[in-house]
Amino acid sequence: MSTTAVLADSTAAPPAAAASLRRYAAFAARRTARALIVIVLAYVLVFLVLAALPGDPISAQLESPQAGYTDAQKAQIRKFYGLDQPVLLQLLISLGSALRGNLGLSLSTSQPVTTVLGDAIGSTLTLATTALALAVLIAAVLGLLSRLLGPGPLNALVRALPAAFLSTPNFVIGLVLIQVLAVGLGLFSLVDPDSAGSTLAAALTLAIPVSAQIAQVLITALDESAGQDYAEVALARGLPPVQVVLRHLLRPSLLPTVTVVGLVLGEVLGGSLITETIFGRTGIGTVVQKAVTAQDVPVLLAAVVLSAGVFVVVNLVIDLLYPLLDPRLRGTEATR
Amino acid sequence: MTTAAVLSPDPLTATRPLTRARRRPPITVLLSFGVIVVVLAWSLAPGLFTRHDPAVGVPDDKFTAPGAEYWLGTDHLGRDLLARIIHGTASSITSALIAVAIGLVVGGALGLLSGYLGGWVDVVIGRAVEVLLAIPGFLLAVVVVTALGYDTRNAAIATGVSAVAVFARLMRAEVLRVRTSVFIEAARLNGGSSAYILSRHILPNAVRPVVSLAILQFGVAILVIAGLAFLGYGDPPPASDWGLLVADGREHLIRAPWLVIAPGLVIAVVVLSVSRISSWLDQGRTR
Repeated sequence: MSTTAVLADSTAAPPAAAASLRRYAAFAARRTARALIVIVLAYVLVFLVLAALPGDPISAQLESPQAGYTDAQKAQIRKFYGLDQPVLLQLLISLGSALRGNLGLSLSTSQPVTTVLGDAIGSTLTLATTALALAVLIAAVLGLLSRLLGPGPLNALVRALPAAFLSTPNFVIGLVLIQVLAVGLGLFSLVDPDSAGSTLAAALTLAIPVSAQIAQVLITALDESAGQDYAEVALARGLPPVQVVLRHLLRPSLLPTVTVVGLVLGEVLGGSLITETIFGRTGIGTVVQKAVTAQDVPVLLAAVVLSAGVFVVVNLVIDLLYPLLDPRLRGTEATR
Repeated sequence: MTTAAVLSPDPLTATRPLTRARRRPPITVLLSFGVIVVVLAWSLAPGLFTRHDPAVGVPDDKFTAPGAEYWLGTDHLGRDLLARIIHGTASSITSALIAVAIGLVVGGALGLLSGYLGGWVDVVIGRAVEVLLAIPGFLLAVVVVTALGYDTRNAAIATGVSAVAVFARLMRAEVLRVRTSVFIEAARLNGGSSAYILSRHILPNAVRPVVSLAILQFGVAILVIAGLAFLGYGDPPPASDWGLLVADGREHLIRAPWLVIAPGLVIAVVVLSVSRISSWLDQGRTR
């Protein structure tokens, strides 16, 4: 469509623009529907995996001899939690009420699951966004250095750092940061996990492995752009190298970089489990950990699907932004 | 900084002739192989590398800093840390191998079917892979290990499950790449059956990038399993899986930081070596 659309644009702009808008809307609607289906299927998958769980706190409580429930009472309590139904029926009931916004009650605290998650999500979102921002910053510095430093040991070091970052377990990074920054230098207090210093250290723990993946993609993309003719032309025109890198190499490298930022979000959300535990924060990660210990299926299910949902939605937004960011992709969205 | 450096495809190798890089593996790759050999030896015959007992300590020597007697120091029971690391190797390495095997076999088979058969099979498998990719990998592993029960073997299975999608996606892409080649068409025109074409033509051509991914995933699996062990979802103490050693050391971080740093470094060096070997194999393919 590209050439005809360009021609049409110059002569009769409104119809072409409307058609392209319609096509984009259809693409957006299709992608959104697909993302919603993925979230629902993730719910189903996690539900079925957890249904294989041998025990749950309700049954454990009911069967314990000290509790002294009569058989009728046991049956009544099981019925209240829907545990007397076959698994598939339980799934349908649970999915149905989840779609209406009711995630059920926590088996260990009897609080609504939405309350449990609502209390925790703010802390995790703060942590995750700070971590992503730090990761992008670190990756950008490494990427620019990989281009601006000439060949030599320093450049080799910059290019080797991402692999080293990726290979170090995040719990070791977190514990070393605590040891050095909090215990050694006294930069933040271990008592208040929500202080700015502690949050930054926790975010750095998450950011270091994640920045490595972003940096690897960015460095590869920059290397590729550097081999293009337009980069050589820009240098031949006498532009200083810094400007060539920033204006001519960085811009075409942004698209793959944005893609990988969306993908590493999954690792940030998964990694929050360990990071929040180490830094004593109360977030989705610690909610998951407590739910695992207590075999609290409704909370675990909701927390995992919530993380998957955040991941899917952010990546959906990135997908929808592509055609707006890159003119070359406009018009091709219909085929995806 | 020279202007040429900004434009060279890769400032590190630009000055070196490509042929030399190809003939002999770089020194970092040789070192990485060395690390892997040491780790394999540790897991096969731990007793040869340490004379200390990993489970019984000398209480008088507790919290000894790294030195001549205890190379990596001792823990709160006076147990030699190096002995514990060496004896924990077999479990850490085996479980990572199990995880990769599960991901490779299940994911590879799914990707192969999806790419070769196409149609509704591709749609169904593609959607399942999409769902698996949507759940953050570590959380998926935690969910699976919760359902299976906490021990190292189950942590390995859970890690394998969380790697299935990555293998399926790569295998499918490779099959699609190979499937349209002229020699596949020729084999089909010669009357080759689907099974024959899959096993003799498609699989061998798709296998190299998948092997490189498998090696990379071996490193990832070590990290994930160590994370699960750190959270207590693996074998309980006195097992000495690497992740568990860090978790034990965490209690004494301020008094004896080596209890965290030494096993942490061992994990990092092993994973780094594995990923170096994987990327070296990958480069060999693209050159």
